[in-house]
Amino acid sequence: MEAIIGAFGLVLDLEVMLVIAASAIYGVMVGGIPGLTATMSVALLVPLTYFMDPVPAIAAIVTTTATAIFAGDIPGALLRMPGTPASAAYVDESFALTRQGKADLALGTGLVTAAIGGMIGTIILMAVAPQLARFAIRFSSDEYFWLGCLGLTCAVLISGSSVLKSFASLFIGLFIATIGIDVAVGHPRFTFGSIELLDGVSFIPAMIGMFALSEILRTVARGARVRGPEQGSVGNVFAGIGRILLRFRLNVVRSSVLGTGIGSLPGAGADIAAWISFTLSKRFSKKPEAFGKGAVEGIVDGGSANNAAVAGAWTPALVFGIPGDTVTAIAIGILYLKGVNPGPLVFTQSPDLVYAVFVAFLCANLVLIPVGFAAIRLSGLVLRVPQAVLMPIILVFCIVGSFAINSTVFAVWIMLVLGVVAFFMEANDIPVAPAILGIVLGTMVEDNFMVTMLKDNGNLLGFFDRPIAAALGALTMTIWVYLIFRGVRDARRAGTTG
Amino acid sequence: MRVDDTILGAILLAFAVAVVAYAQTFPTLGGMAFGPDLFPTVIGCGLGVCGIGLMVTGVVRRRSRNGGPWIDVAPWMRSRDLAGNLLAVLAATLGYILLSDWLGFHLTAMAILALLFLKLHVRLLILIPFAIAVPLIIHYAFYSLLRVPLPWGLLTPIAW
Repeated sequence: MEAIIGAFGLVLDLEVMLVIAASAIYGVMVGGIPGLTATMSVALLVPLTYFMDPVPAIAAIVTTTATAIFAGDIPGALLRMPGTPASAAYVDESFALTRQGKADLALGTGLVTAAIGGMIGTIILMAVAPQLARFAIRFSSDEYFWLGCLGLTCAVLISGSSVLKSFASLFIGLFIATIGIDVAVGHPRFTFGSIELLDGVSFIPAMIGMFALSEILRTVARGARVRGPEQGSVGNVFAGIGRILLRFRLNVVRSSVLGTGIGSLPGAGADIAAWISFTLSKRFSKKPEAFGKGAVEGIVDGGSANNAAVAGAWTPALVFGIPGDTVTAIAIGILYLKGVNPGPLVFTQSPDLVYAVFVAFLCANLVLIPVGFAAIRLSGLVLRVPQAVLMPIILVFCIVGSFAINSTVFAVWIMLVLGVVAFFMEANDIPVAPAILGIVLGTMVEDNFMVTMLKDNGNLLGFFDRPIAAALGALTMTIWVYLIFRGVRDARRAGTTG
Repeated sequence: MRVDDTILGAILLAFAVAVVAYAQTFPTLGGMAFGPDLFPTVIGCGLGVCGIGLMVTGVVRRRSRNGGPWIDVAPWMRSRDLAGNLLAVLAATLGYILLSDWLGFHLTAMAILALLFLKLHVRLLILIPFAIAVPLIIHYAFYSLLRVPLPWGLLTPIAW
């Protein structure tokens, strides 16, 4: 209880409140511009958080994601161009409503369900995370090794792309993580004499390159222009919302709980949560025929699930130090830089920080309503910012952001190389998320492997000595077998269908 | 730019072989079965398996479709303008890396902004104020507030 009160004190500080307000405005703007994803907005924020204390830094990340995910609905409803991938699932419904002149209904539903979904997700996070942490406190390197493997495996399992390509992405990320001095004997690996690479590939320029620079490259290669919104002005977005919430109250609860659960799986984020909830919504709807023609029900389900997933992703991140999505992968990287190692010990050593994350989430979802309302009102303006003006400015931010961490242009090289790599990966349907998880978790998996090996005198069976480790190991290996089976099946199918 | 899975697999396999071969040169500590070479070797083998798998699916798919293009030409490869956009962004980043120490942050950033705006057909009325103001705003935020030592380069005599 003291920790919770302490956390309120930490968050309800003027500086943190200003950070939350600024991040909300920033998140809504970036999320509202098609092509700029929530992850990219966080990646661009990283250099700034580097100079903040842990609590405002986390508050900034949390608020930016929560607001950006909602704001993705705005261009989705008005232009049929989802601002972030998380809004893609129900974009047809909201755009159909706009065509009927009901953009206010589509956006209002999206806004209110996003805030409720985010709140429910946060409450589940607050209830579950400390319990899990109490359980996880007994874990040693054995369990962490398997948890790391499980996280990496889930990233492949859920990516939705071909198994071979997802694994390839994962191994590319793991390879990047091995660059630099190794943990066992201190031998430089793959540094080719470069002093800058001894410390490994810095995480922040890597993120900026893979998410922001690759996105800039994609945008300029498309030469995309933004068109004007379908419906000029949006009326009162809160009209009739109460009735919708009452009618679909079970949908809100179902999708929020489901979204939180999906979000907490490593590698699955808000976009997958929205897709699954939307699909379920359609399947269990009393009026499935309304879908595709502007079903508010679909927006309720998808809109609450994606914001709930944002909170859910923090469960494994805080408890095990294993990111639930790309945003928490970045957040973990930042916490490490600040000397905070996420894991069960954080709950006992700095509980105020953990509760500060919770409180920041609650504040972010509360702030979302007025900021989102203003964003909807000003949407015409945000949507007219031409990408031709935006992209060069973002590029300069990427360069300065990469440079800022160690004040060396070498970081800009890392950003450039990995940005080009990510651009080609995406062009060839190789998902980027597993690579990111590989970069974040690679060192942790290797560290825990080496520690366990030293403990057990090099006996590989030592990984199954402890009951929880054995269970985690068995689970991981079962998924491996399943993935190999799926990979073979995909290959066979490729042969028969062409 | 989409390349056929066969080529993609071959590239991954070649990379994997190089990683594994190089990892074998890493020293091991006396008496320990697992050294710094273990993870790179495992990763290399994994990449190699993915590479072989992609080559196999690629070849099988090509056979069932009777060939087809090795490389799918993306729209930007067919348009001089779009390919130019892509090259301009890469050249601007490279230009910053090579020139910023000598030219300084402000001049380099203004130059790459102006060039990219020009390439992306931004009107002069927007181009000029943005190319000048953005570096100054970044300078204020990162140099003055956050104390990031952005290089002054040629402008060192008038540094503030």
